[in-house]
Amino acid sequence: MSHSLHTTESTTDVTTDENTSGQPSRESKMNTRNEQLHAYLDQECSLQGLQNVGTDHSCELEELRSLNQWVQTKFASISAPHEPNAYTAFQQLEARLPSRSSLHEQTSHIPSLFSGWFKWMHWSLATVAVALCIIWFIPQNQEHPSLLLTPQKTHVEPRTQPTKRPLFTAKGFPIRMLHAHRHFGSPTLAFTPAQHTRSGVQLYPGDLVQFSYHLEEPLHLMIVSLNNRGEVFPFVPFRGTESIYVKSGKGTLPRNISLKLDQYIGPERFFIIASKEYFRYKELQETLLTQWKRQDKDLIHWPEHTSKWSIVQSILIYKRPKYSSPFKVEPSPKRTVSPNNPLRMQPTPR
Amino acid sequence: MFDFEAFFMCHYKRLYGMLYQMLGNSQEAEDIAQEAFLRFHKHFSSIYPEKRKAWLFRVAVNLGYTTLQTRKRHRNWSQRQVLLAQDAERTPSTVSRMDVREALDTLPVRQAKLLYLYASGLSYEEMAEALGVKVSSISQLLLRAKRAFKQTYGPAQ
Repeated sequence: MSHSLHTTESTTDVTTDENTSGQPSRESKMNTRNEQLHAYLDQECSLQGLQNVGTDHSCELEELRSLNQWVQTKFASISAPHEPNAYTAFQQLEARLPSRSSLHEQTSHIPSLFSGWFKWMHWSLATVAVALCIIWFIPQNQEHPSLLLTPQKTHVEPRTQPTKRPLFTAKGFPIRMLHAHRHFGSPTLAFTPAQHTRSGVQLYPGDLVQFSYHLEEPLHLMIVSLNNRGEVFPFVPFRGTESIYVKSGKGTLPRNISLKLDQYIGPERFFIIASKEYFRYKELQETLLTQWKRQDKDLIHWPEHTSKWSIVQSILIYKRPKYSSPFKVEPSPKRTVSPNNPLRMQPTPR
Repeated sequence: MFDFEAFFMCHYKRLYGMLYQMLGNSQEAEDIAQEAFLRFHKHFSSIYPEKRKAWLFRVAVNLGYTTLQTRKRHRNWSQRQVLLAQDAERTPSTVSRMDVREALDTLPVRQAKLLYLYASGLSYEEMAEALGVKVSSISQLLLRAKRAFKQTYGPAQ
């Protein structure tokens, strides 16, 4: 019944009422008579708007009024039996909200498009800040070591050529000189651990020296020293006059004892000389002195091969007067052998 | 300064009432009302002040209708009996209630939403804003919805 009522009156009376501003009012846009009456019943249309629908509308009004009442009754039947507690609900909601302070945030009436833009702008600003941190801090703190060392590399030494080793030496294992400094001031004889003596090292009177070897084949060996005074002294064999025959294998020279340096101050060069044949100390001494005089008594720069013998290694040391020896040094003989107290040599890495 | 608490106190009862009319379950109505207010709190700074109420009810009615559709999809006979029994504990006219809701469920979505919003007391402008239609067409749409509702309910009655 109601459907037929709507269809029969839907095309009647198109009103063109306009308000004072020239814009058509909402009542004028309502095309049908029933719509205006319906809006009037819902208090959405004024009495002036109803003037255009005519005066004979009591029937329609009654029908619409009854329809509204019926709808309200039905909705009232399914309404909630009890009113909710808004305060409790708000407390529950408040616990789920992000923060209390944001409840009273001032509204800026910004359209949603701009609010989204601001959200993205925050992210972009954060990204730019992180990038700036990376640019400013990381290069200062983590500079490459080579860049730091570049200004200091004013002089680069040429790469030293590998020394030609005699064929009879141990395969890849030269004869090494070891030394140990003495602890000055100690009431007992105390020494530092043995160290590999390299050319140019500083030693002191009273320090101990020893030689270690590893030979693959037997040979004749002699270790002598030449100081700045032109004095040649045989360390191995100690005060010997001729070379010693050393069998293949590992060992130390002198065996189970060490040598204590004398009170001489200045540069001193040690010569480790090997040969497949027996040789005498006199010949060696003369050869070394001749060479020393030939090069203007210079111990610092010494040619590798100066004689018919093979010089396995030549080591230059500088003796400094750091302390005086607590022991009585006999003037003659020049070198003394320490008491029967072998060094506790530590194996040095190759 | 926008007082969210005052806004909540002003509109919560109406919102809850509309959702209860839609769902017939107080717990679900409270949950969806809370969810709607949560979403409103998240976005209220970007909503024009005159459209806040409409925005809130639009979100609520959409959430409620989504719940209705989900429930309808999963409802079987036993659940219907349970709902019927729950309603029977509260009011004597349980059959009438179920029929009203079923009649509203059979209406087109826009008409049903319009009726729920109308029953909750929104003005024509607010209903138009909530449904995204012109204000001038609300009266016509609402009148059609009311008549369709009565026609749908009539045979059952």
